[in-house]
Amino acid sequence: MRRALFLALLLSRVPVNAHHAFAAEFDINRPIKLRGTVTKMDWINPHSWIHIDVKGPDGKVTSWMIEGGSPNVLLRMGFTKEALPPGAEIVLEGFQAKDGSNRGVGKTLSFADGRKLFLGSSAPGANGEPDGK
Amino acid sequence: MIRAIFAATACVLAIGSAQAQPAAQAPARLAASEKPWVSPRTPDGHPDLQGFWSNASITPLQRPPELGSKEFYTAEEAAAVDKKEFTERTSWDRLGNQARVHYDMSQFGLDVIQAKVALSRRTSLIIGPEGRIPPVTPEAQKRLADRAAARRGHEFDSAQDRPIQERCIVWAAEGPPMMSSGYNSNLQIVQGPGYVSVMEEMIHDARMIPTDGRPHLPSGIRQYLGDSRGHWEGDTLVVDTTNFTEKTSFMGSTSSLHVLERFTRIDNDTILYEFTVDDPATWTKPWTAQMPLSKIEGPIFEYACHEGNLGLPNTLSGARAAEEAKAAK
Repeated sequence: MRRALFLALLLSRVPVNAHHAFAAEFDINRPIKLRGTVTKMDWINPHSWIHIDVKGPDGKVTSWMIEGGSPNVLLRMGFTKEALPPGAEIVLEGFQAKDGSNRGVGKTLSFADGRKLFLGSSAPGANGEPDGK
Repeated sequence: MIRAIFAATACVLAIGSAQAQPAAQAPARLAASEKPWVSPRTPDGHPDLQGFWSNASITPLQRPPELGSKEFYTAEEAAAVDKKEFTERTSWDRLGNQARVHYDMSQFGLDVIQAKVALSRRTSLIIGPEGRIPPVTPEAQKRLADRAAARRGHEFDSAQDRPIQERCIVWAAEGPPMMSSGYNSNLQIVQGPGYVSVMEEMIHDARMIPTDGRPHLPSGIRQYLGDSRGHWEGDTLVVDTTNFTEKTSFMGSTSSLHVLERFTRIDNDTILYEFTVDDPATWTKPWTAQMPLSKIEGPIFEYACHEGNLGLPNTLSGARAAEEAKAAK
């Protein structure tokens, strides 16, 4: 029975229905590592977008858009737009858009001090704690 | 907050159709209940189903073949299965192949175990000894194969070639029949004289269900969500839906799909939702699934999908870039 249960767990998972296939939008062969400063976050559906400015080794600044999840649960959890204020420094590793534009998705997404966005609460120094905490 | 949601899910509901299971596996919650649940009523005397509900589920639609005709786990087995899902598997595991290129679902609160899940001892949502979708007819096999062949190589030709979910038209799981949408699996039921409205957060469609006995629309009028008519049978809302289009398909069904849904509030925090689907052009026989809906706090938020749907143009521009790169080789 234990073996049957184990097999059942391997074979029977409920599929996750993403709004769209990220592998069709972002290129697994274009890995990116970015450290940038948040300029704004779009709290929109079907996906949120985090805008950051990234300074290159030559000092030149390029703007990137990072695709995130539907913001509905963040809102339900009491997060506000102060949760990720402009000026916060974030780092990510992920993949760039297939068309080569400055858009990406982050497999890891954290503040510069290593705390995960939202899960690690607010940006350093920001008043972004969820309501009721 | 996440912990609070998780704690709420730890309250295991073991529910099911008393008719459909052997007495030895009678659901603990129902068996333990001394007094039968008396459903609250609306001012016009009908069972009150109103409020916000989650259909987040960790129970698979189809029973794993290894479990044969075993329709229910024992309490111990169910606890082990649930524990594994909640404590050992991660949101990345649940993403499966999609995890290769994706963000962290749990970071945005979108992992299923972060939602309020009404747990069930069922081994599959599909009830009965088989627990699986019946075989498709030879006609349906050919239709589905032809459709897949026609689509192959043209998946990214234009916006019209993308799935209607990606185009923000209807969510694949919104039905009817309604299935868990993976995340934001929330719905709101509102009742008024002669109507029940079911609004699903994904993707913000309100289905108006007349309960005044009027007939279905003429067969020539077809709708993405079909045409629903409801009536009350004791404490149960029964909803009959026909008049689908060919543009939506539930597990391969055609526009001749007939859906019968049953909503029964079995306690203050739970609606037992059951659906039977029949489409002789697709399956060799009708099949029935059952899942609990769990009461949640409102509100649910608008899911204005079209307005911010940058994923669709980005996907198409990615395909164009890939074609150009291929042509340049």
